[in-house]
Amino acid sequence: MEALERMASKGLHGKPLGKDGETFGFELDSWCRLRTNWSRSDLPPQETSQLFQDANNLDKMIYILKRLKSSATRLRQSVALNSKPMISNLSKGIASLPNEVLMLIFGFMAPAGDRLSRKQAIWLSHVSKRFRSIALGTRSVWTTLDGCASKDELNTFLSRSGKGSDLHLIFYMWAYEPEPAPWTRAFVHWCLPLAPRWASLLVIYEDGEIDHYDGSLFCIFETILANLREYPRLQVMRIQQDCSTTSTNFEPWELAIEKYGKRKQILGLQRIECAEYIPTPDPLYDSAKSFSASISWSDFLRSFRELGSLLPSLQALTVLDLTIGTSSRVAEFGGIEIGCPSVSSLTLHFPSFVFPGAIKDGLLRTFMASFKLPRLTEYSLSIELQLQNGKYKPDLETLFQDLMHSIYPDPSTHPNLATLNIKLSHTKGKTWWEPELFFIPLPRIPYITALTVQTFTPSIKFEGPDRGFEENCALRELRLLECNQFNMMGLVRLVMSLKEVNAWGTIVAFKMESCGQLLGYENAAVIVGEEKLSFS
Amino acid sequence: MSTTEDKTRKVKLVTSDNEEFEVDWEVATRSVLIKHMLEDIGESEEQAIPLPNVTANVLKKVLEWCEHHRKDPEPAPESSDDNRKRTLEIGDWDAKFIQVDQEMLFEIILAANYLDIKALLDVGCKTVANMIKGKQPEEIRKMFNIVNDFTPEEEAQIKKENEWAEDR
Repeated sequence: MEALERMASKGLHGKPLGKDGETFGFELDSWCRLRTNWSRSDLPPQETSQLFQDANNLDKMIYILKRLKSSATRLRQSVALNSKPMISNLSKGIASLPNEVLMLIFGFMAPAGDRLSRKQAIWLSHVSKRFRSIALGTRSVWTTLDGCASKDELNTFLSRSGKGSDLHLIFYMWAYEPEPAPWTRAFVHWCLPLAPRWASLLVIYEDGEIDHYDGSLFCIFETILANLREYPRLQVMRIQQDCSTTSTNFEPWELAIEKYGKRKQILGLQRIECAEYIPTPDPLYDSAKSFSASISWSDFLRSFRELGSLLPSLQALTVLDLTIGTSSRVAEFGGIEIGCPSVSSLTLHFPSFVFPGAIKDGLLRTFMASFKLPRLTEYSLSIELQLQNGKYKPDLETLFQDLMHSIYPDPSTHPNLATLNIKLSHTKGKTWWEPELFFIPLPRIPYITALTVQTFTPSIKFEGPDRGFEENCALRELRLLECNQFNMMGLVRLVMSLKEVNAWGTIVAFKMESCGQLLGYENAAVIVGEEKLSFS
Repeated sequence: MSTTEDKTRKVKLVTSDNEEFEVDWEVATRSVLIKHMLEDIGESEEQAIPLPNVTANVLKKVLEWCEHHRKDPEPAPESSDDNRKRTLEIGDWDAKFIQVDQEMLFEIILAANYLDIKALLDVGCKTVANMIKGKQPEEIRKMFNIVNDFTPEEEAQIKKENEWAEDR
């Protein structure tokens, strides 16, 4: 017992680490003797009490050691944090990258034709001697000639862009005053001798009053369009209006096209990109293969009437890409046909689809029914739901199911549609309801052979006609991409639903990519079967 | 064009710190450099490919990317470089993959450049571009510990050019 007392008192008040054979003041040999030579019944009561006291002391020591460990961990983290900048200084960092890699980075930062490229190019060349030398050697960053730059700056950009390189022009039709600034007109005239090098043209109309047929803007467009034959490299036309000006006609542009456009087309024109603006049909655009537009839901009806009028005239068009900014305001949509004989690929983006507000009254179904693209082979859809509260849960579930049935073009007018890609996401935030199932009605996609789904829902349910498919289902490949909420139960439900509608047998490839958050390969293989499953 | 035999073949890679990795042919040949080296050595499965410019911890990360993208189509030819530079967008998986410290980010870029993996090089370069985009020279210097080494004459020219960037 003396040994035990000595150990306890040293443990609390003595050195924390003793010489060999002693730890925290305890003599380990004495402990061993105690444990082997004594049994509990041999101890008198007062010594038992002493042992309990010692046990208490040991608990205190453990507490002190835990505190010490926690303090050491904090110290280690603090050292790591403080040494990070030092390590960063010691490592070569960006200096280790060779010039050609930095040129690639600069090219990404200041892409040709981008509105921000001008400032970015200047700033990159002001960092250090090496950055300046590389920036000046990266010709592409100097090829954007911005209408709001000074003549001195434009001349510098032009000389740095190199001889004969493609040029990307930005014309601002921002009329903060009724007439455009005198330099806007001078800019057009300065650019005209460079017309053989124009590769892309961005026309921006931001705000304010716009002049008419006899105004200065018309003169500018007239000058551009009257010289069309001199733009052999022009491939991309971009026309952007500000959201607030969509109700204003882009009159000078349209009038100039009416006057000069009908005479010819831009032979090399590949792509038209519009924001809040749909051009009127004109032979000028005849060679375009790709058309993309972003349209506000609030001005949806007018824009789609114009789109319905433009698309049939674009005989070479194969790619149609529409971004529709939605709100909860609902407009009527009917009597419009969005048709084009040659389009093979359609992409629809709904970046802020207010749910359930924007689904009311079958609007989306009517909108989708308006597409008439007989050569369509591929359809991609991405919807980012803005889930809103304020409805009873059963109502929301019905409306969600309705949404899931409304997102496909009419199969009877799209018999060649074989590839479908759907991405369903939702904005992060507090919602009291989230959909459990992503419904896919097979009768709405009877010709689809390859289907890719990316969804935040924990499962997918395929729905068939009442009696199941009488003929074989066309679906051969199902690809789940980043379905991170999928667990075993979710996958079982999906497979069951495919079996219930007689579509399981026809599927030859079941691909799961980046879905492994809650689900491993082994479990997936048990449910799907190794023959069909591809898991990565 | 890869054959079925190729797809089952294993490739040995040896890093600068002498660590050996055995990976599927399909994964290793995301690197054009390795692909060409394999073509040069022919069918010899035993021969390891030395990668003297890549350390084991970086190669491990690069192979993680290659594994995820093993089924991706072959990269487009050089002529489509213009389209390649147009967007700074990075896919969700790639964005998570490249969330590493600066040192590792530059190591990955260097390895992708050396191994000739264009798509990975793009991911790395876009990440750096996104870090710098919209930043003024002083902010860029601070971010990467770059010293302003311009002479007074050069500073004068730069001051003039800076006025352009201050405009609209």
